[in-house]
Amino acid sequence: MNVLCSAVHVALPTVGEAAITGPLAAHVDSCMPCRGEVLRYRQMYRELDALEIDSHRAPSDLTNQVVANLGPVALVEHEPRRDNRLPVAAAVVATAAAGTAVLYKIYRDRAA
Amino acid sequence: MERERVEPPQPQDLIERAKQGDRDAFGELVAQHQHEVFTLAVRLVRDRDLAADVSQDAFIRAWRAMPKFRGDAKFSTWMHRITVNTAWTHRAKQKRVRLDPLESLTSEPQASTLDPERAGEAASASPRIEAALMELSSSIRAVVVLKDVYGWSHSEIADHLGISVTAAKVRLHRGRKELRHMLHGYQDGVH
Repeated sequence: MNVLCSAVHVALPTVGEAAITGPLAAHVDSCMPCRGEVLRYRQMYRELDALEIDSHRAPSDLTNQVVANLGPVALVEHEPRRDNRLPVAAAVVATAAAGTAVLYKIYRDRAA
Repeated sequence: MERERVEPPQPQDLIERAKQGDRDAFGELVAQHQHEVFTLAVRLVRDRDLAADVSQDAFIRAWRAMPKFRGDAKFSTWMHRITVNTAWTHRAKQKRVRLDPLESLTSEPQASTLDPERAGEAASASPRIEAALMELSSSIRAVVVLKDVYGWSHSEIADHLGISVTAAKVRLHRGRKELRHMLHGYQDGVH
């Protein structure tokens, strides 16, 4: 096994056949064992991709079990309404400004 | 006389009704997606009894979260994510109970711990590849299943399994190599 063979063996389980380009592709064309390895991985990826997503039958009572155990739906957390945001922001700014003014007045009185 | 055809409820209609708290609509969604959710659960936890518990929990979590389902993804995709999270929660609970040390990255395939009858049940549809998947340790199998069967990205897998992207890539590489050797034998690859 040479360096290119090793590279093929690392690339196939990492990236798949898409990694076999350029010098690696040229090597695979001329190396029977590597070509066999590419075919084996190709077949494996195809089999994985072809697996059905619903091949296992759920227990016959699953739906009934679920429905029998449904609790209350979670309450949706409503975002604050946009038209409420402006007055709230104005109130926060006004409070901050008033606080700053009071602190400034206290500071000036003490300085005097 | 021509019989009147009754159209089955459309998924979007069921989803909207379920979001409003309609249990019958949600029950219909469960009936439509139960095999898909159960199949993913079996592939993640391997044990059919545990997979049934995971599926039930996943649907109940989905029911609670229905009002938050915005429809950005398909309902089935959303259910897959919930199923993965639920399976991992069950797995973590089991690990705490059994203090199972086999789930680390350095673990070997669990061939000796696999009940042959269960493996046969699990490998019902595509015996060769499905049975080979079941031989992988659960932490490696989850990554291979989610990437190569369900087409998740590395970052999605890392996010849902609570691992780094690098760890996901390492497990995927290792899992694919193990699968290839299980399917074709070690001798084929030596030259």
